[in-house]
Amino acid sequence: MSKRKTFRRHFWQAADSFIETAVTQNIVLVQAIGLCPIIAAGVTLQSGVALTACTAAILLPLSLIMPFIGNYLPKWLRPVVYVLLAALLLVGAAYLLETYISPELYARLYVFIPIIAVNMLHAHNASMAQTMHPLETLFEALGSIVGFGAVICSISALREIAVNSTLWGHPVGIGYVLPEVASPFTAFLMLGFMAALLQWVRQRVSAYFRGKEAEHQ
Amino acid sequence: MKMNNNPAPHIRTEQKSRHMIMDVLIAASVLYVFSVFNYGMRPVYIGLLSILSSVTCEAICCLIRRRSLRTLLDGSAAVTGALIGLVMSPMVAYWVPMVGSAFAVLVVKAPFGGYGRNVFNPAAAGIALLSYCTPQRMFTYPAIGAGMQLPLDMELTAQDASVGTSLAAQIRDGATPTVNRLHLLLGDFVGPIGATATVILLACAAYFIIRRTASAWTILPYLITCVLCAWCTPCTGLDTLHSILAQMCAGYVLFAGVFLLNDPVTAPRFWLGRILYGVFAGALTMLLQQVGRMEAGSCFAILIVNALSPIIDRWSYYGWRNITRLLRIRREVKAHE
Repeated sequence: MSKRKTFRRHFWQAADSFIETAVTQNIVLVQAIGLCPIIAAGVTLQSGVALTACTAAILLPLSLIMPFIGNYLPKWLRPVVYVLLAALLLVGAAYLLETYISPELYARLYVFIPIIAVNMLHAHNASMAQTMHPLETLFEALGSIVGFGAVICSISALREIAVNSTLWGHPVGIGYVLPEVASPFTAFLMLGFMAALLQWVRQRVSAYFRGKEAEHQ
Repeated sequence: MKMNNNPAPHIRTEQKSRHMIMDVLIAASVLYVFSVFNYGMRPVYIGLLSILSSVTCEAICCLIRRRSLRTLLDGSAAVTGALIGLVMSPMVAYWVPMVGSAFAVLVVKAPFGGYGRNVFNPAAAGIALLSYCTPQRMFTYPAIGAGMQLPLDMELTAQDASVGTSLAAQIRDGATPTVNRLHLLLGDFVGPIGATATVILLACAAYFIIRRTASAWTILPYLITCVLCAWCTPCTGLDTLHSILAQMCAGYVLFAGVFLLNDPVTAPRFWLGRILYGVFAGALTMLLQQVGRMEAGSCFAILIVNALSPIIDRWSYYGWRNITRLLRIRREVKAHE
């Protein structure tokens, strides 16, 4: 097989895994990975975006590094090395966030940024990312970030509107606030409803395509 | 072969689930009548508005799911509303039980597929939500007096009725409960609308057991576990019997055991599973009542055991089957020898 054909095959596999982790098998809503930051820290849209950015800052470089060194490591050592590298990268990301972006936001997120380093997202990716092509791992990491980011941003935006009646710090103009929404159980409820919505959409879409196939035959 | 795949409750006798629900409604109405003597007509309005809210939400869910509105006639939504109304404080604002009932039907019951498919008891979940979100309104009780008539305004403040300390709050704070035994039995002490009438609640339990609406395999282990736990942690300054009675009457302990625990949908089906379920719920209730900061500990306990109920059912069923099989094999081997 020519080099070009191999690349094309890898590209389509990668695109497939991107769609899978981002939408159809959403990393949060279907696989239930990375719930902790969403439930505990996703209270304002700013913190949601910051957590997504920190996750991206770790996942993207690691997904490029791991396929190259993963094969030289014994299986039991892979998650350990992965988490150590993640912690190293996180120190840099946290430093950037504190000095250049917003010390306030850093102070508010406090413990939840270090916790990202040992998030289940990475453990999941570390176990997956040894033998795959770098392109595939990169797209899978991108898919995780998009899936995780979409969920945490929507939940934190809704919670910010309900708790403070603001969005990204700007007032929305709803007079009535519900401070209870900041508690963890509402985040669980929202996650449950979003997961149910995703299942519903998936069923609808697959039923639609099944109908099309039946028409062709 | 044709397989019937019907939702719970699975009932083997001639009885229908509608009869069970009617039994619960009858028992709840008795408690509402009792509360009229204590507080006037306000508790009845609270209950009716709560039922109205839950039935309206159920109708909305039926319309969304394009089902016939005749499903409302099974009465399960009305039961949810009536039970939520029974644990409110008599001076609660009218919108509080309505919000609880709406939450119970719209979030806890309908998304799982309606009556017979719900994982958690809707009434317990509604009460848990209210006690988490509006503890100030839920646990402010009026002091009780003979023939008191609470005003029927939308919101009552401390000026409208003198506020009393509830029995559960007294026990939790380590104070000596000031209610004597006769008043504990008659329900003549500060507390929720329907959860204080000890004798009536016990009569309701007996009625449910006789009518086979509820299983004695759940109620009795629950009550026995609660009594044992209360015996182990006596109140200061009371003799043993009085202390046990006071702890059983405090909060929703008895009410939850009689009304919420026996939901035929969420309780296990197998008898051993029911016993374990009752014991576990009782122990958890008394634990939350002792260390929790809310009086609604029993509702949280019931939600936790509801989540575990399928596991309890399966393990107890297969465990019992394996034990009996082992015993039978051993007997056969002995006979063979």
